[in-house]
Amino acid sequence: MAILEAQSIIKQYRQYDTVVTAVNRASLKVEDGEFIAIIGSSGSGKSTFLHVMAGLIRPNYGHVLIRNNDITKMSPDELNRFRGQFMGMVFQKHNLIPQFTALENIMIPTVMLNKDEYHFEEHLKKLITTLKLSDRLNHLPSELSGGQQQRVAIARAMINRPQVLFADEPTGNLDRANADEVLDLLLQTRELIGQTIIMVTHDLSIAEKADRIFRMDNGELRLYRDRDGRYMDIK
Amino acid sequence: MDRLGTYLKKNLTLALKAVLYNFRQYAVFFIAIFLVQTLLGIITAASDNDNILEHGYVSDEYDYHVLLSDLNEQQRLTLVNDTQTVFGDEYIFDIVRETARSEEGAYDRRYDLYISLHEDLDTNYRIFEARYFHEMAALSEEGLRVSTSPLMHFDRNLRANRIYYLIFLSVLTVVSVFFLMSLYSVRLNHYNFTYGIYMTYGADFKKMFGTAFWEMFVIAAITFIPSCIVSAVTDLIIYVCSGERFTWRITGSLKVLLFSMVIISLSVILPMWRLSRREPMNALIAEDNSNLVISPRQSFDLSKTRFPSGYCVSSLWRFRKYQIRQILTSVIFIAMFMSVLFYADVCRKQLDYDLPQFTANFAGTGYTYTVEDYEYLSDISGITALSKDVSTRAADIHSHAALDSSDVKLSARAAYLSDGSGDRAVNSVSYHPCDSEILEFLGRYSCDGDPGKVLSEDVNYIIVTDGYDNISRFRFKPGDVIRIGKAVRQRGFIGDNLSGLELLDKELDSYYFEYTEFTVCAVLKDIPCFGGAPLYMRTDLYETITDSQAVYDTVDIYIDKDSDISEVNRIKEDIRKWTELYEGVSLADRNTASEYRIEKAKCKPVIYTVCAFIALVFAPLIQIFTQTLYYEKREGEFDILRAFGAVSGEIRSIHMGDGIFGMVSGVILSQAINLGAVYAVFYFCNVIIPKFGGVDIRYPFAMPIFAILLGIAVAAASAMISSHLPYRSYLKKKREDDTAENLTSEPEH
Repeated sequence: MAILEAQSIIKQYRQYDTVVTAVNRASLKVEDGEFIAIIGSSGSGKSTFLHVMAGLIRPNYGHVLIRNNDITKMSPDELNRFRGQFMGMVFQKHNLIPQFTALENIMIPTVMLNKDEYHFEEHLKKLITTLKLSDRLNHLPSELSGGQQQRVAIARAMINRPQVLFADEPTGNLDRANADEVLDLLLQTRELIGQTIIMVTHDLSIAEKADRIFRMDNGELRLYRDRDGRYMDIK
Repeated sequence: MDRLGTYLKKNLTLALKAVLYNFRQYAVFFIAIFLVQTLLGIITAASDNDNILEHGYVSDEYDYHVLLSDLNEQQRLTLVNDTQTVFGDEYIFDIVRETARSEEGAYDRRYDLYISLHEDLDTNYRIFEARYFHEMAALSEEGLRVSTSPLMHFDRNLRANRIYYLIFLSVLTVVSVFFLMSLYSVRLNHYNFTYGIYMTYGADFKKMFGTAFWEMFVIAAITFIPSCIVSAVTDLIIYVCSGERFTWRITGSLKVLLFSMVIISLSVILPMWRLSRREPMNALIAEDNSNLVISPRQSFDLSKTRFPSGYCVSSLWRFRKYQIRQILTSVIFIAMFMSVLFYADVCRKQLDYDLPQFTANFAGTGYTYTVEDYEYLSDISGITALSKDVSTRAADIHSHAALDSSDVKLSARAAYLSDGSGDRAVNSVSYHPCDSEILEFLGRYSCDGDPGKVLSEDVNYIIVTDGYDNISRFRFKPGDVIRIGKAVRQRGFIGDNLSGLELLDKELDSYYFEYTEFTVCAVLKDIPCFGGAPLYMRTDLYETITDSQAVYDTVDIYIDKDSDISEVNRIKEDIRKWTELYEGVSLADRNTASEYRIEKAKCKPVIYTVCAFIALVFAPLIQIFTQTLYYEKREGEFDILRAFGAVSGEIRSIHMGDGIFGMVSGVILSQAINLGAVYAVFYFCNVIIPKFGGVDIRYPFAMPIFAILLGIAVAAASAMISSHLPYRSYLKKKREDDTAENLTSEPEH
């Protein structure tokens, strides 16, 4: 069953007298528990498309359905609540909250949802261990390196075990070994809870681990490699 | 010159473009510098106008500098037939007029000579004194009676006015520099990242200060003329409504321009200097508010908190240094408002306070002031009160007052008596005899109890005051018992050069005392008491305790302050007829009515009140500006929270929580600081001014309730608005972002 369906998404920006089409009629259907990678050159519109699917930006045209809920029709507050319950987000720019420590930043999503029944302590320990944050938990973001900040952002996105995880260059600041570990963690969690992952990445070795790879060029989305591992001819 | 012109043109052009292009960024500086220049303008124009008014009043009322009174014929002729002056350039005076005090042909006819000195008054007065006074004094048994008019002291008054103006201007400069520097520091903090980039690419202190200075200069130049107009119109309205003239001088505005240049230079130099000393990396990483965060040792367990309340409290705690600083900076200006308003009230009370116009002095004549004199003077039309006084300081006669401990406040300098009674001894008191005449005069002060009982023969009553040095030190109430200790026999050695409490302690050990018990019949609340608390008792009791006679050598004579100069002169003539009954009694004219008119014309209470209200505007201005930039940098944080599920109501609650914290702490801090600031002014006026020879007036430590409420309201409103406005702005931006653009181009197929 499709957990997410993006239908003919168009996102345009006006810059003075020019209209820039960042996303041009992009459509995507993602199955429950699937791992999708979106690759493309800088400025191709992949991050914009990801943000539209996550409900962080409204498209000019098109719809995004998540579990048959059209998020493009929700009010901002409804959408925020919905996103908090079902989605996790790793931003390209870490966007950590500067006045909270690494541990507190990771805990923010748990506070937001006030989920009394959700016992996240075990999952938290696992995230901290896997992401090698144990000795940095009480440090402010300004006291962490870029890579450490990235790992905190990833932990924060995963703490609530969201059904859909949107990740924008999650391994961008990490070395090879750490990047592989992060990916293993994502895949393990996916295995455990059937999490759906939609990831934007430059890293082909990471993208190769996905069930399907899409490529974005000039705002247009095309299938690059299917579930069976066949590469499409993209001109 | 060409190079200077090019330099100026280049910098001014760049600065003008920067300021106008980024007007929103600089809007707060336009308002701030305009307010500062308006304040400077009001004070400067008022000071210049006061000098003109004072000169006008003095020249209208007085045409002479020196008055030589009661001259006999020989003394008169010494001046009229002046033989000391030979050459033309040695003439230093003119006789404006002379008044004969008795009919021509009368025995021992007396004259008053009114003298006008030429040009350099101080120098010519010294020459005049040196040439004539000794010779003329020798020609009469009574010596020579000389007095000077306000016209003589006008230059000295002008100098005093200038010093007063410079002091006030210096205070204003310091306040303005603090205000503008706070604003500029907030701006620098907001643009830390940008300046970090500049410094990375070579900008040094000279470059950055130069840019900042020229930008502020352009703003000051733009706001200068509007501020001149507003300040001139403000002063015009104040003076005209008070029935006085207002003259505007361009030199005043030039002073304002000069001072505002000094202020803007000083307000950017220190923030820029501090910034230039920073490592560029520290500035670059402060793109968010991370430089305002206090690094913790432990993390909070956020999972145990609720959102948004727990989140809000945690954030406030981490930003506590910033929060306290921004609230404090704002409430300091509320404190300034309160203290300037208090000072305006002090000026008002100073004007209302009655001072004697004349003082008759019997010293050395063999005569004393008696009841008959009181009756004579009371019959003179225009005299409103008469005050006689004689006193003995307790410390001068090794005496003290013994009080119950409960009546003595911590601020009183009091020793413990060694008799085991637990009573406290104070010697900062003075003993005064009291009769019906003095009692009548004391009726002008507010009191608790019945002062009339002090004359009772049956009981030893005493009228006390609740403090000394114009500060409340005692908790007396009618019915309290105090004992006056009189030293009767010495038993130990007291060293020289002891005073105050040290002297008292030594005296208590070194003397045997006899105590006379008194019952307090009245407590005076607002009588001036610099130097010692006056205690009034029956005359016979005074003489017993002090071993001295209550003999009155002087009497202060009060008239209606609003009496014009002709009325004053008329009263003076009537009083002089009385002084002529006694040989040698002198009459000094203290020109109180004239000084009152001049001070009233200066409209100081109103001017200071207006300045206070302008200062009050600084508080919300700085808080709103600071918080607006602070929340702008937190917008990313709110976006994250929304990305994780927060709704607008929860974001609003975070702002509201900050606002409530700011409101509560702002109100508490402002009241505490207000108290300190107003007390500082109170102490300065009550204690410091009399200590340096100023008029001894006891001002109450009280603020009008409306000012307190207004201060609270501004602190509260400022905190709430400065948190709410950024939320509205954020909400508006998000609504614009959430609405898909309607674009004219069709979707591509």
